[in-house]
Amino acid sequence: MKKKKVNSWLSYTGSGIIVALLFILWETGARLYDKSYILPSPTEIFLKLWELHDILFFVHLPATLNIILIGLGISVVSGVGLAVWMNQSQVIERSFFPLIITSQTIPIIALAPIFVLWFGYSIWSKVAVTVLITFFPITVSTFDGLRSVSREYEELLKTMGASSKQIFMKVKVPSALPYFYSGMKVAVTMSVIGAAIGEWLGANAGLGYFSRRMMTQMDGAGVFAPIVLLSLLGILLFLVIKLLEKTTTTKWSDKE
Amino acid sequence: MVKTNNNNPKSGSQLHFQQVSFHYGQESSSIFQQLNVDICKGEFVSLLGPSGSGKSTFFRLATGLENPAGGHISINQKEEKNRLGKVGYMPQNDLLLPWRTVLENGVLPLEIKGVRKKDARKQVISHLEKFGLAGTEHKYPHELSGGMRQRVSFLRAMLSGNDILLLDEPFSALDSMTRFSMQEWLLEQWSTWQKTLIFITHDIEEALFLSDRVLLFTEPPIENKLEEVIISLSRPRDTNTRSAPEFMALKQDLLNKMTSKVQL
Ligand SMILES: Nc1ncnc2c1ncn2[C@@H]1O[C@H](COP(=O)(O)OP(=O)(O)OP(=O)(O)O)[C@@H](O)[C@H]1O
Ligand SMILES: [Mg+2]
Repeated sequence: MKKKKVNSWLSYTGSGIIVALLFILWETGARLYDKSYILPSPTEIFLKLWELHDILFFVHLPATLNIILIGLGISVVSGVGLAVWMNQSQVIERSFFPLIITSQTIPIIALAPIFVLWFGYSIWSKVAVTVLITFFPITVSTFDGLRSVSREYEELLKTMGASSKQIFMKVKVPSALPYFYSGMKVAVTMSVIGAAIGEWLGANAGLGYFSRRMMTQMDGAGVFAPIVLLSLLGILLFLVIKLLEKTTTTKWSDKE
Repeated sequence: MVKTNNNNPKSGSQLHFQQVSFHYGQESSSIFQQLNVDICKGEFVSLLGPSGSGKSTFFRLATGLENPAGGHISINQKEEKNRLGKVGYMPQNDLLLPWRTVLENGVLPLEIKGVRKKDARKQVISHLEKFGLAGTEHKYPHELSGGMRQRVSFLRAMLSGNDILLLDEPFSALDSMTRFSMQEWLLEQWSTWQKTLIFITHDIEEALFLSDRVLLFTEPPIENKLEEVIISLSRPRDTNTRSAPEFMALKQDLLNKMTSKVQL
């Protein structure tokens, strides 16, 4: 057990070294180049982050997080709902599934300006972009999870006299959960992108908006600082999902 | 004690197929045609036959997963149109839910019947010892040996609370040593619980050792009745039974019947 822990720490040292090397390279490169409005050095970015921490952490981060959470919430409810519905009915599956797949060929980013047209600068234009980006991985993975249940299990429960609701709760939900979580992991990282894109196009708060505003002011470090926060936010959301997964799907899954 | 198949369920009949006809889907060929089978209360009956002869199909009809195209199926001398939940079934591969512990798997049929969680758990725990599963209640199926998994699966079927238990090749995946001890264990359980057991197997010796009666399945369609062999070996049976001369004679008899059937 202990040995395993040490090993898992060791496995991170490799990527740690690479990251450290990249930072050193970046730092020296940026200093030599010496045009911080184009390429700010990591230290400059972190100083900027510190300098602006009040406004970044208490105004723009909450604004973006708000969009992400609302967007994800809508995607989870509608995506899981649609997945369940498609699982229950062949007709629904046949009519919706192809649409969901083809919807992915639409360049969502290109649609974003239309949402600004429809919803204006309110948060709903950003939420719409986030939903459009996160809906797909959640729906498809949940649907696959529900479909993964082997018929044998369903039949076994039937022979015990189970109702279809009981079969759903006791077999389908637990088998679909790991799939749902892998969809969620993709969705949360993409939700950060969705929110940022939405904010670039039209907003008056948020990390994406702030980054873009700094660009117009030729403040290189100011462009990067909110981006650092955005990626940290993505990592954090990812870890939250991982933790949720650990607590709700028991030990059996990671041992296998 | 065991009578030949007849059209009417007798007193003491537990599972009765009367003129049952069945085929899968519309175009598939018939598997059973006006089949009559009668299984008595407390009997241990084995179904023996080659692959694809309809043994599992017989179980699917008995459990209610499929319904006959013609004829009736009665349980306890009462015709049952909906048999789901009325017959205990132990599937071929144990089909334990991998995300549930031994205890949680055992509780499943009780949960479905709406038994209170606490009572259900108590009931399962009270059986673990006898099933050789003491101390495993919080283990997951993948942490158990094949024999243990089969015992959990059997316990689960037992706890369905039905008088008839159908076991579909429960020991086919076990090594022969474990298999022998599981067979003896199963006989012990059977005499304790007074259930009616119907047991599918490909193994002639297993069928002989366990059963009161062996029903022979042949190439479908099977018409009217199944050939049967009554196993009059005395009980309780143990390891010595396997090498007794009567056992050998019965085995020869059974083999002859099977080969003559296959050639027909
Ligand atoms: N769901 C199904 N749909 C169509 N045909 C089926 C289905 N299940 C079984 N069959 C067919 O019915 C016949 C009997 O199958 P069954 O599973 O009852 O055989 P079995 O005696 O249990 O064989 P085995 O010993 O290999 O388990 C086979 O020809 C099989 O192909
Ligand atoms: Mg079979």
